[in-house]
Amino acid sequence: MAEYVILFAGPMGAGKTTAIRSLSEIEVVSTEAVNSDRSAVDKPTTTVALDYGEIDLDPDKVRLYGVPGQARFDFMWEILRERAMGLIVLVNADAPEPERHVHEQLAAFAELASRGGVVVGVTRYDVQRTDIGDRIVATARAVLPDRVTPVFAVDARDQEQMRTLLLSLIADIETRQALAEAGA
Amino acid sequence: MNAGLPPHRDPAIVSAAGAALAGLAAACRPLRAAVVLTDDGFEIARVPQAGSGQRLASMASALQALADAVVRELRIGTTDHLQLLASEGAVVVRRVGAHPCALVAVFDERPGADELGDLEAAAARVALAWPDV
Repeated sequence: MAEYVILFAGPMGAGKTTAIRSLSEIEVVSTEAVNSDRSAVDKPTTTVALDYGEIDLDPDKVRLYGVPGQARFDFMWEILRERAMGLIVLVNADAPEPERHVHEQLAAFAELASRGGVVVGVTRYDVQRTDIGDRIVATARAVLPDRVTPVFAVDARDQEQMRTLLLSLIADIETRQALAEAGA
Repeated sequence: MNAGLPPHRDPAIVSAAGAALAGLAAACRPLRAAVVLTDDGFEIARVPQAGSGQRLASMASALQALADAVVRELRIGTTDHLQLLASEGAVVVRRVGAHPCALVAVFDERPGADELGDLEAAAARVALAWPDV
C-alpha cells in the first residue's frame, strides 16, 4: 500500500476547496475566513491555512491538502510542499490572465514539480471557452521544459472529473518513481 | 465609517485600531509588536510603526483558523484566544468580539494576567469601533 500526499494550489476562487470536498471520503478540515476584500474576488470566504481531506484508492491512501491562493500565505506553501509528492494546479478560465497564475504557481512549486507529479486543471472552462487551453499548455511547457505537464478542463464540483485528474497525477508520480528507480 | 470599503482600507477602523494598539504599547512593557488584522490576514494597524506587520498578520490569521478548526473538531465551543509560548517570548492571538478581526501580540516574555488583561481591553476598543452589520 502506498500513501500519497497531494497539494492543491492555484489562485483564490479557482475551486481548490470545492475540489477537495468533491474527492474526500472524510469530513474536510477547512480553515475558511470571511473574505474582506470582495473587490479582488467576489466570494464570501477564503482559505487562510489549509484544507485537508482523504481518499482511499484501494490499496493506496491519498492525503489531499489545499493551500491558500494568496501570496501573503506563502509560508503555508513552504510548510506543506515539503511532504508533498504531487501537485494539482487549479486555475479558473474566466480569471484575468489565467496563464499568468499557472506560471506563478508552477514557478512557486518548481522544486516539487522536479521530483514529483504535476497536473493542471482548468475550471470554468465552459463559461470562457477560448484558446486558453493552448495558452496554458504553452505556459506549462515554458516553466517546466523538461517534463510533460497534462492539462485538463475540469469541473471542481464533479467527483468523477476530479477523480480522473487525481488518477492522472498519481500515474505521473508512479511513472517518475519507476524511471528514477530504473536510473533513467 | 465607509460602507463598502474593506476593513483594512477603512480610515475609521484603521484609526481606531491604531489608537487601541498605541494604548496597548504604552501600557504593556514586554510587548514587542502587535497587529490588528482581518480574519483573512490583512493588516489593519500595527505597533511599532516601523517595518511591516503583513507577515505577522497572515501567520496569525492561519494560526487562528487552525485553532478554530481544532475547537470545531473537538466540539468545545468557540475560540477565545490562543497562546504560543516559546523559549524567548510568546505570541497571543485574540479574537475581537464576534467580528471577522483579531489582534496578535508578540511578547519578549511570557505574558501574565496583567498583559492578557491589557490585550483584552485593546481588543474591546477595536470591537467598539467595528461597524454593526
